[in-house]
Amino acid sequence: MIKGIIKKFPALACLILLSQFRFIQLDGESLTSPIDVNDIKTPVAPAFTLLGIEPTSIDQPKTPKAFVLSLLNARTQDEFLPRDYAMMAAPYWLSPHPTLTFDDYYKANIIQTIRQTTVVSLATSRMQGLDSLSQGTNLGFGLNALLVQGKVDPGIWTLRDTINTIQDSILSLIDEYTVIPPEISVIIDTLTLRIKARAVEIQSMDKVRKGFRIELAGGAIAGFPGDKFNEGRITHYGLWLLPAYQLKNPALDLICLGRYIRVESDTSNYYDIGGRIVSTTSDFTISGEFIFRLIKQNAQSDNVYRVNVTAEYRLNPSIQVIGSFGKNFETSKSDLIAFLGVNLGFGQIPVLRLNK
Amino acid sequence: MTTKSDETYVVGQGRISLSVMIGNAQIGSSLVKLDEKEIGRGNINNLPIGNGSELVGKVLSIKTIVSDVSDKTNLLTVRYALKGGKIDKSYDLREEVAEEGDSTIFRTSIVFSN
Repeated sequence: MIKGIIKKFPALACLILLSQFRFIQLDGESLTSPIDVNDIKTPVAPAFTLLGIEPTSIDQPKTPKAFVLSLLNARTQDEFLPRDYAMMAAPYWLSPHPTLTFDDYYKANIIQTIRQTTVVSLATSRMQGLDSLSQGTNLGFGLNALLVQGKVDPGIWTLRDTINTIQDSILSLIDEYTVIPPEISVIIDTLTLRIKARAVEIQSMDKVRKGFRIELAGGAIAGFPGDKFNEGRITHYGLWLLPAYQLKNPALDLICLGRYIRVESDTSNYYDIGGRIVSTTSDFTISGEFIFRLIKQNAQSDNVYRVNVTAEYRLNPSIQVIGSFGKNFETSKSDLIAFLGVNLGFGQIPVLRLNK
Repeated sequence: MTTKSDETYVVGQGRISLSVMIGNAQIGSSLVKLDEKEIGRGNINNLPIGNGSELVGKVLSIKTIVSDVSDKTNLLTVRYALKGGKIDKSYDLREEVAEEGDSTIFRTSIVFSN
């Protein structure tokens, strides 16, 4: 696939190489920087966000068996904890729900919405230090969920009825023949493909909810210096709350942010409040955001802000070119945000990805 | 893909009814026959089957097609719930499909007995 991209889009290939370099730089930063949580969005995986890692491989088990195997495979015999391991799972969907109908899912109340949308994230990374005693493992754990999910496109009910009609046709054909002749089998296969196409449409509609939404996320990082359990301590924790409203016409997403981050190493507290406006056309997305941050450390406090504009162009479903420009929170070093890169779609694809 | 099951339901004096529930937020449709005669199709909710005493020895056959429309899970589940007999009873069937949008046909036969 990469070879094909280099042949077709040589300029893009250069961007990809640059973006890979950027990932390495980011990983390098995350090892020393106490906190790197800046942009306005609830993290898809708070564990990864707080750890400051960008895993290229995320286990996403969909069954209890896959969940256990994922954990077992990640850990080798002589390791305290699996290293550089990233996993996301939706606990609700690991077990069957025979009474959860299609309509129940789309008309869920707040409790059911939380159950349906809760995602657990788990990640580990190496703790870097000058000597072997200060090296060890960082373990991140996160939870995120929607409290209010927004309204689904009403076209979903038409798609449901269409699928039901096709299913009835298949049942009639199956009922008519004891042994299904090859020509009827071909018709059934065609009808099954029609269902498949509509199922994909339903999945797309499920992801794009309009109206009011509230997302909540929280996570914590525990550090284990020297890979010793007794030395383990919480180093960071954070909480995100994002109320948002998505308009259908014009296609605008209005997002508010409330965020709290605690860094235990220097006993600092970050209180963020901000807003973001996102405009989306078919392949192009532009957004502007502003975040005010109050930093409290011991008896001292400081105010900083971040303002940023980001544009994203989708080349195909898995590749986006991203440009970002603005001012970051940083006060002691460069606070310029100027980034051009690509998102190759590893793991979850964020709407917009912002970098310092 | 097809999943089959054969069950028995003990009737009483009351009227027997059948509900078919498609779980895991998937979409499905059913065809219900009593001794080869169609008595219901589509969404089956409290479908009257008949009086318990008249049903002894008869076979209720249900074919249900379920399609995976959820990207959260590939598990398809069907619950057949019978009411009005000695006790209310439900029969759960499940099948995991390989790909998003795949469909499975569940076939169940339920014999009514005293």
